[in-house]
Amino acid sequence: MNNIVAGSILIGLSIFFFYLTTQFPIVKGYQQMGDAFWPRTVLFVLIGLSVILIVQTFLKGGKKESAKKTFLKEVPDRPALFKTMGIMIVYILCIPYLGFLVSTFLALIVFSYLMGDRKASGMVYFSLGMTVATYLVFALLIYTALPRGVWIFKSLSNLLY
Amino acid sequence: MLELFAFGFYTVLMPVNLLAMMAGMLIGLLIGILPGLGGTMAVALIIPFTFNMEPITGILILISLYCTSTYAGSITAILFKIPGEAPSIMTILDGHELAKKGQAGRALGMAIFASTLGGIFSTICLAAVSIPLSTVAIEFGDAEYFAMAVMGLSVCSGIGGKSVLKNVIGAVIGLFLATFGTSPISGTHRFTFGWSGLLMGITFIPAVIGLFAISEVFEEVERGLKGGQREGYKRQEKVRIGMPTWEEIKYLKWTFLRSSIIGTIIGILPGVGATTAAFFGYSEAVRWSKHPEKFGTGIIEGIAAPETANNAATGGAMVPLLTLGIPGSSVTAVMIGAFLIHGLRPGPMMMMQQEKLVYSIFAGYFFSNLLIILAGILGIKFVARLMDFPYHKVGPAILLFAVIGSYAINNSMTDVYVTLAFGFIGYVLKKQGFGLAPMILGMILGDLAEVSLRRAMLLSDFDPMILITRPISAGLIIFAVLSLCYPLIQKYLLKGRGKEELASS
Repeated sequence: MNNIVAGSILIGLSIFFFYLTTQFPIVKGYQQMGDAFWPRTVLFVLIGLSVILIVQTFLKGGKKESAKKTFLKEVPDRPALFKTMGIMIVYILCIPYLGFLVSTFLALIVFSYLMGDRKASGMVYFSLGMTVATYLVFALLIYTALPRGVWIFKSLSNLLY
Repeated sequence: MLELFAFGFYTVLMPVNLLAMMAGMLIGLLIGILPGLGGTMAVALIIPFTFNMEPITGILILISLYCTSTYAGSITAILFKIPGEAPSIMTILDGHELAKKGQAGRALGMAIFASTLGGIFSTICLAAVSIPLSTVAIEFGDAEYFAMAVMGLSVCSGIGGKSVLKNVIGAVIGLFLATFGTSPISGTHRFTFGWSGLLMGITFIPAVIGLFAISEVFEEVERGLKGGQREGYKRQEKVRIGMPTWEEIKYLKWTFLRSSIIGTIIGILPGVGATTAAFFGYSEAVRWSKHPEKFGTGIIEGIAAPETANNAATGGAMVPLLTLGIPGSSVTAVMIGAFLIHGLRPGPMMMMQQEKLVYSIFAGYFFSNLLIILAGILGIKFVARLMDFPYHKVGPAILLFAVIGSYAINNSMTDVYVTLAFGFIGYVLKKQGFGLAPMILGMILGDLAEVSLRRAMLLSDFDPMILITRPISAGLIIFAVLSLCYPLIQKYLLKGRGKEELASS
């Protein structure tokens, strides 16, 4: 079943991107084998392979059921996974607003907690240590322009680098 | 010639030059370990500091830095699945799996040995046959590059996951992702959705960091962390410099030789560098292996092959630079600057008029590759232990390195978004049984395949025969087709033999 869903999604996406290739402007002098040629060829192959994947799964039939059960047994901690994924998205989206250092410090505390650390002081020291090390190496040593954030976070970053 | 070599070694062994090379080694080690900082950037940053030095001293710093950083990227690749440098991408596949089995020291030791060996092999080639080798590079036209890409793609079914079909689909997805951004021939924007961040296409390193490092953390969290430690995780063996045993070296002799030759030749070719060399080293090791299905599960060949090839490419890249004045890689392109600020112009004239300098460079390459052992010893004892830290420390650190590593490449948040997106894509694809290695393969070779095919067609007035009428190109394509068909032929032959045996019994 998973293969059929995966194959169908791939076919859907391939058709969508194939449609986008029809919007490419045709550059003079490159009408033959233009910019759409290679992506279209690749998408054709992808559609063909996805169809084979679906057909192959249909032909194999019931064998998938047992595989699905094993798969479910192997994944006991879905809530922690979804929380980690969510925090990762929030962390990255916050970087332009809170600045790199503040958002990293906060995110590392949350990640440590989600991954099983329960000692508050340990989490804070670890996050602080990692953030300071990143600041020293990247901002001070090699002058990486770390995102500064906005408002008071920008002022704070300006004080540091 | 021997006199010149003796002079070269004498020059390199002068205290000031040895110190310069040690400094280059330490900078290279740091740059290699830190994700997001590449050898090209490091060489560019160090060149101004060499201005007041003797020409050879300045060049030796850069050579040492280049060789060490190419090796050192394997350290984080093996331990955390984050390639410190692009050429270490293929080392992730088996290196990290071996580390997870508690053999990080062995994996790191093999990376040191293989890198040193590959580097020394290419140095010997550089010194002995650089001029004939550079003529090989000239013979390579667009048709040959395309054939080379096809040959690389022909192994995609054998690496990655268990399903051949899903591996091929993974490679095709990779080929497609490589088409994003500005078209390499006409400059048209493709699949950019009006977003300037995508104009340069999907940046490769952030995508790899997402695919491997972030998706790995997601998987570990999903599997469950008991008391902050991974399920089924083995503590590292007593960490020692796990250099390969004599038996391992004998067992891997053909892998070392094959990867050294591949790395040197690919290093010589302009436009393709150590990353492609590592990929071809790995894929050919898979192709010729008696047990290709074991690649990706944590076997020592999976480290030996790419690490030998990527360091062999460092010497190879100097061949066209010294003999023709054409850089073979981005690092050597920047290195031209170092030659120029000292009033030297690499090329045939330098080879003839500055022989002493050229042979000192050869000797410098030799010692720089030996210094990799020292760099490894310095790094290995410290970093291998990091694997044993509880996962509630290692996991967040990997996520931080993934973010800062992808950001620091271009100081761009777009790269961080790419990393995040590929983290999710990698997680989903792995869950569905699609191999990530073939996808990387497609992304590495996609651009090369498209550009070389379209250019070859334009130059031949759209006559596809150009691909099979040029000898090198035809040879490579025939080899690719044969290797694709080989498993089927082998299956057929075995089936026939099985029937015969059955009949005779």
